[in-house]
Amino acid sequence: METIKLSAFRIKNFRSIIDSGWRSLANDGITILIGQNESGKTSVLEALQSFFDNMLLEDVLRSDNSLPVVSCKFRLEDKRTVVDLLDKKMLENEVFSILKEQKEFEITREWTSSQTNTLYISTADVHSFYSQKIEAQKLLEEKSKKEIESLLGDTDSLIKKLDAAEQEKTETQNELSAKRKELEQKQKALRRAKKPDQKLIAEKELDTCSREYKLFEDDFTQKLEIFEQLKNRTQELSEKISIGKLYQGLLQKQELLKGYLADCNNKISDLEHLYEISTHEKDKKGVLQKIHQQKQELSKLQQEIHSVDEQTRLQMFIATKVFNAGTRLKQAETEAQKEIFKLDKFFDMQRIGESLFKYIPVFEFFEDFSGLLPNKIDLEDILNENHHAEGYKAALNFLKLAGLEPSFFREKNHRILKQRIECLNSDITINFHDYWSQNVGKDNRIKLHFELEHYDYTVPEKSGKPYLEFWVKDNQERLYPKQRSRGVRWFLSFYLELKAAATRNNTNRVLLIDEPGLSLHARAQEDVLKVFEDLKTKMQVVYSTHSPHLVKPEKLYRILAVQRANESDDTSETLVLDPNSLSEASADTLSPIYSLMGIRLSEQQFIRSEKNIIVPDQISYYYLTYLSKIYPDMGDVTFIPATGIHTIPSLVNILSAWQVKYGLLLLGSNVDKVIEDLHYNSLLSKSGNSILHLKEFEIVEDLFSAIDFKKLILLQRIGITEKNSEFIAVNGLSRNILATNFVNNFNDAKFSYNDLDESTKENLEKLFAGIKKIL
Amino acid sequence: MAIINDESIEKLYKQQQELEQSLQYASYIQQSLFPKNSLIKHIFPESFLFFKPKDIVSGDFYWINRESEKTIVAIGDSTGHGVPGAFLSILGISFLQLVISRYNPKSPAIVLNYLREYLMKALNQTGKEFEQKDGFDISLCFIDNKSKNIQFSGAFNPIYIIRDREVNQLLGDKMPIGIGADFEEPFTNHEFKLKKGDMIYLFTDGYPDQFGGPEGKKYKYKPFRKLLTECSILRTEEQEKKIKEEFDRWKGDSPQIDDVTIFGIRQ
Repeated sequence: METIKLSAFRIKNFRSIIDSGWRSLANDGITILIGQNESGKTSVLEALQSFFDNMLLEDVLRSDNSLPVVSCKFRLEDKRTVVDLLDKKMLENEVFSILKEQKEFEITREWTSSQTNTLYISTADVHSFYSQKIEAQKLLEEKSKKEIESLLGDTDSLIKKLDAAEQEKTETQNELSAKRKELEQKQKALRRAKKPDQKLIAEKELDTCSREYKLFEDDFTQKLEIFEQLKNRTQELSEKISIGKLYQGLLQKQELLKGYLADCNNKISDLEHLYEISTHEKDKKGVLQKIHQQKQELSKLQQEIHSVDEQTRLQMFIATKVFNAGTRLKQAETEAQKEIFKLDKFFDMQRIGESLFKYIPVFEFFEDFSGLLPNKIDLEDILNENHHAEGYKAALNFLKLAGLEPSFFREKNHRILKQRIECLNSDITINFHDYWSQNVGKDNRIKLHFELEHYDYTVPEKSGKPYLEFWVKDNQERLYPKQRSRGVRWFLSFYLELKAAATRNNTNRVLLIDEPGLSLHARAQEDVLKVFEDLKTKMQVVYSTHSPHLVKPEKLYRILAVQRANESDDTSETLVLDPNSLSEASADTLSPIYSLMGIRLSEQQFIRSEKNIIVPDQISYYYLTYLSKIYPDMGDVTFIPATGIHTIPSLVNILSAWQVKYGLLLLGSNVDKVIEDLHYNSLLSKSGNSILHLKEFEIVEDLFSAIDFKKLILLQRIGITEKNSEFIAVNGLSRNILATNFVNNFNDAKFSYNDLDESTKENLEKLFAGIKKIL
Repeated sequence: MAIINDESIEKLYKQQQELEQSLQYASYIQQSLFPKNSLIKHIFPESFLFFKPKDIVSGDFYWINRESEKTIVAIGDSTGHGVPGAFLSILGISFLQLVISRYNPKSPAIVLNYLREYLMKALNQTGKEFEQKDGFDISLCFIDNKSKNIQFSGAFNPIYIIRDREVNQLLGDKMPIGIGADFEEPFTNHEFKLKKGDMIYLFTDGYPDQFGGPEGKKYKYKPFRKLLTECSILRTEEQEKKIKEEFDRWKGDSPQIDDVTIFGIRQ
């Protein structure tokens, strides 16, 4: 059995959501997003779906150009740890030791443009390990890049200097040659001079010329030296220059290709838009062909970019070595290749993310399928893709599951078509046990069946036209879908959608359902909730709703409240509040809960006329409701949760106005102000209601001894010497999740009153005796 | 190959001396944590304590406290012996004092529940594989000063109450103070109505586990109960003498394998 579950999510920059913060899913498999229309509930579901299927609609992008980032945490619920999901040989030692004991991992999908994104492991320690590595490499690259830029900038002036030096050297050399000739002539003249005065003059001239020649010679030597120096320097830098030029060329190529890629993506988007608005089949076909061509182009470009990226990476490694470590080119090439090989030997963040992604549950998004399976649908509506026809989507899902495409019905001869249909096995068997525990039919197995019929004279405007008729059959009877309850019909339609949308052969799923059963009446919505309750053991369900019938008052820990930061402004940021912060949600957002209380009140189920106990918060409500069920001789008592200490006076006010009899349970030492308020307003004395104040228990969890707290609530072995309330606060634990553990243990009948520790029993004795007294 | 010369022997000898002095000093500190004999005799005039550590410091420990309504007696046996055992015994005594003064617990079982939490927390025990399972076994009694009712709770260790040569065994739970094999369960509280003349024996497993005798075997619990039964009719000073003699006789030349503690109280 698959045992990897989505445990939390965080959404950034997705439509109106700037940062949802980390939000946990309820442990028991059902999470509910409540909130008003336009609050952003659907955005949460769509963001999760985008995380999974890598698709992003244009309209989710924010006007501030920030790009979406969606992170999800997954929890392994079997013996494996995260490393067991990965090829251990591909993990660097540091990463291996971080992940070897972890039961939870985090993956992030971050969009880098509207079309592109990266998926990577974002588990904190692993992410920080890779970030440090990337940062160090980046710094090195930046350094090399700067050196390349400065080197290439200097190269021009160096070459100019070399040219000038060469010219000066040549000029001086020519002058020196001329001087040498002059010297030779002077020497000749001296040899020819016979007379003493001629000899004297010739000697003087030779002497002057010799000195001048010496000066020229010195000048030439100096110029030659300069030239040689510049020449050597140029030769020395030639390796670096060639590396730099090659690298810069690659960078330019990268930029160019990225530009082409963006153009190509834009063209595809335009064509896809054109395809959507095209009405004629022929036009659509033409556009589709162009899309295909563009996609081929895109694929080629992506390959080319990949290859250039690889070359750039290698060149950068070489440059880093040559520039920073002074390694010679040949050696640098060998070392860089080795280093890259070593790096590629191990997974990077992306490859770990992609490897783990293969194990996560399949996310499936369902929009409201208001079209319940109809009794019949005109064939014309199927062929014309008339989405507005009653039950169109459910009928189409049915046909898909029966293995039939709408084109099957294009056969114009109805007799032949009918014959073909009769040859098919046009039944779909639905095993209700798969998803729903309610008894439907004799053996919980029903068949959906369809037939091709024609309207007769009773429907004159359609007389002779074909339609598909659907039947729901079980061993006992054959009925039209509409003869079944709306709840069953909803389930059938949901089942068809679930099956038709099954993309992978993987039963581990997270169903994301937007406003389920929106069109159903109250009772049928309660049936929908039952379906989810049954489904939750097999798959996780996250749905949005603002219906009170899809929320259970005793399971408020499942709720995430979604609302705008400024409720009167639909353009303001969306906030997602966890169950611990429900008291911060607005009354409008919490209206399903308030309505629920109202509904139950009218039904005399939620609040009775007497024997009510107001408790400080919903967490207390869960614990006390369940504990009262096992406490001997407790009798009937109804706990009414306030949404925090400070809302108690308001609740007391309402109940007093309703003339409901109640007691008030207060815990801890920090409630004097509330008691003072209540007395000041004479709220309690008016109706003769009274308070039970147990100062020694800060919160309801303090009723449990350390042993019971660990065994039934914390589910961990650790020494606890402080009060449970202190332990929870110091360790930052979620009271909701702890309460869920307790409720699950209770529901699984893992303990009875007698199994509780004596200290817990003693505390409960004190509590319930006190409650009995004030009731 | 190391060369052993006079200098290195001298050095080793010095080190050993220092070590022994240090352990001796540690032993004084440990002794100061245990109740004085005079206090024991004051609280239980007819009693004896046979306390024989294997090493200089001991893993076994004992503790007595008299309150207005009840008297508390505990005998503990830490994992191992010697220095590590002594450290645990100090933790044991400290936590015992802390729990009793902080929570004013109504039963010894509640004390043991708290003690286990304190020790698990102090040693960071969370039940993970390959984690150290250090801790201690203990017998803890609350004796009501008026009614003479005894409440007992034990971590592995039992106590014996011998009346008219008949042994009543109050057994401890099969879990230690510290992390055990299974998830923590509450300790069981036992009650027993005492009569004048009853002998209560609290002890660790050092005596019955001692190897010796003609075949070098363990002494075992059955002969141990027989020995205590025979002793129970004697005066406590004689009991201590007999128990000691029997121990020395059984042990003979065999080494002592663990710390030994027996505390006998006459009602």
